[in-house]
Amino acid sequence: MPDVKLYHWEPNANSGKPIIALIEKGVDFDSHYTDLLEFDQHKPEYLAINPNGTIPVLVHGDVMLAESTEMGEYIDGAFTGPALRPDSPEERWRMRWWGKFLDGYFGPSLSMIGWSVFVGPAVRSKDPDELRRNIERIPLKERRDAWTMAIYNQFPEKELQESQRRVQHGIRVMEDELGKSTWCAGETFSLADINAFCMAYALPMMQPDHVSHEKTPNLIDWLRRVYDRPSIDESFKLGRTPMAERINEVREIISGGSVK
Amino acid sequence: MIELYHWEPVSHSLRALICVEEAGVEYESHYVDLLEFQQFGSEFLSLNPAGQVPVLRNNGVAITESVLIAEYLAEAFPEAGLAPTDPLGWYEVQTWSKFIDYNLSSSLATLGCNHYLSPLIRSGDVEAMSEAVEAIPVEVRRPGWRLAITGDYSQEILANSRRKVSLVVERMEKSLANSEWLVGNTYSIADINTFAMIHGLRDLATEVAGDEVAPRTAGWYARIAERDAVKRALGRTTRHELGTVYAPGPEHSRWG
Repeated sequence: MPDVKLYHWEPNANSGKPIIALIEKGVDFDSHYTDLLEFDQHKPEYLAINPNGTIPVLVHGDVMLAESTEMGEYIDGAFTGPALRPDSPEERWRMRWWGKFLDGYFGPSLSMIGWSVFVGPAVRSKDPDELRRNIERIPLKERRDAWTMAIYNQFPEKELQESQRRVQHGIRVMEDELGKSTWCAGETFSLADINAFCMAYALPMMQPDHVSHEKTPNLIDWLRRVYDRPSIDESFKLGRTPMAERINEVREIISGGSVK
Repeated sequence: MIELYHWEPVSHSLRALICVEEAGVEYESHYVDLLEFQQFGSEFLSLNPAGQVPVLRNNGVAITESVLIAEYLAEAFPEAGLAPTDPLGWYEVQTWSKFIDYNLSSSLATLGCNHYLSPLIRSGDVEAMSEAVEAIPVEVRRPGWRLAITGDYSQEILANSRRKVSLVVERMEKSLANSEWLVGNTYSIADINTFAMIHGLRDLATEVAGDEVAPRTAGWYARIAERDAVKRALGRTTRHELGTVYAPGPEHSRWG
């Protein structure tokens, strides 16, 4: 029995980060699929593990970790296997700069759009009383506000437009940064690539007007390099929604007719 | 030689100043006057296109973001012992710093600009300031300065800032019940990152961060304030009295 348990939803966004990191590192772990659309993360048994009710959670022995970006550094430091952080302090800074950019700027905007088109509609048809009770037991105010917006479709148009603007700007930032080196932080694959991939893996399909061979050759080439890693196929086996089918569609888009 | 681009010893600049002093490295200080918009000059923007201080330059690389500067210095100068090196200790330092950044950085900027910056700007040539703000080349920095000109901070955003400060102080009081320091049993960049924000909030949000409501935080604050490195950093005041000037900071989170 491995003494590592991972509570996660679909192998993308925040849940995808530790899944891919553990697989890249070769760590054997127990996967506990936690269904966001069934509010599993707000149920008492889950709150007993993580009182904040957020996914993912890594349990290693008697240690519980709930911050997905920093979890990557823990996984790299606590287990043997290929290094997921560069050696030099400068490249480590660059790796963390990506984390800050993704967590503080790009991710929240992309997530707001994702919740408005996917998570909100997916749960809205449930019993209204059940939905209300679910909102009431969400521990963090920020998460309560987000779920309220998603369930009752209260996204302000202005905010959605701002998110779309930031996603487009973020795509240009990524394209520029990826022109500087093979991988996000330099010449070695790192946690920055894992984190960026978890946010960007479906962009060629979701944002075809902004992410394509013509518009973002660096981003497309980098995506192809990450998609080629065996850990990606492994990680998507843990998914249960039709998201996995999207992967094949994205692979087709990025493989065909490179302009480079 | 290490170069540090910073403003007055408040918030983000204070973090970096304390960290270089604690690391015990020689450094060249470059004062960037945020009220003169030197952070938006072409020379500075070539260093950090985001138009933000502090920036630390070492080995030809411009290291940005105060929390990342702290982590960089901890790893580049391990003999200074600025952070634990075991995986769990490092995780706790990183997540504590993130918690502080999420809750205090934007709150300190909001409260500081409402109390100090906005009246300062409005007592001067507002028209010239407005023109300068509209000419800021980094578009994303304009809204914060526009708000400082109008002084139109809503009760909601001020109350939310105090709520976040209170949330942090409550957690600090709990942590400090078992240890002299915020993470583990040693002074670390988690303490420095927090101190640099609490420093101003004791004055700006006394009702939730003052000595009377937060006695353990007050003791912890005093322990840090008497360190030589911290005294040297706080002594770097240049054009303003300590803790009487702030600049617009990171926005409050839009999506939890």
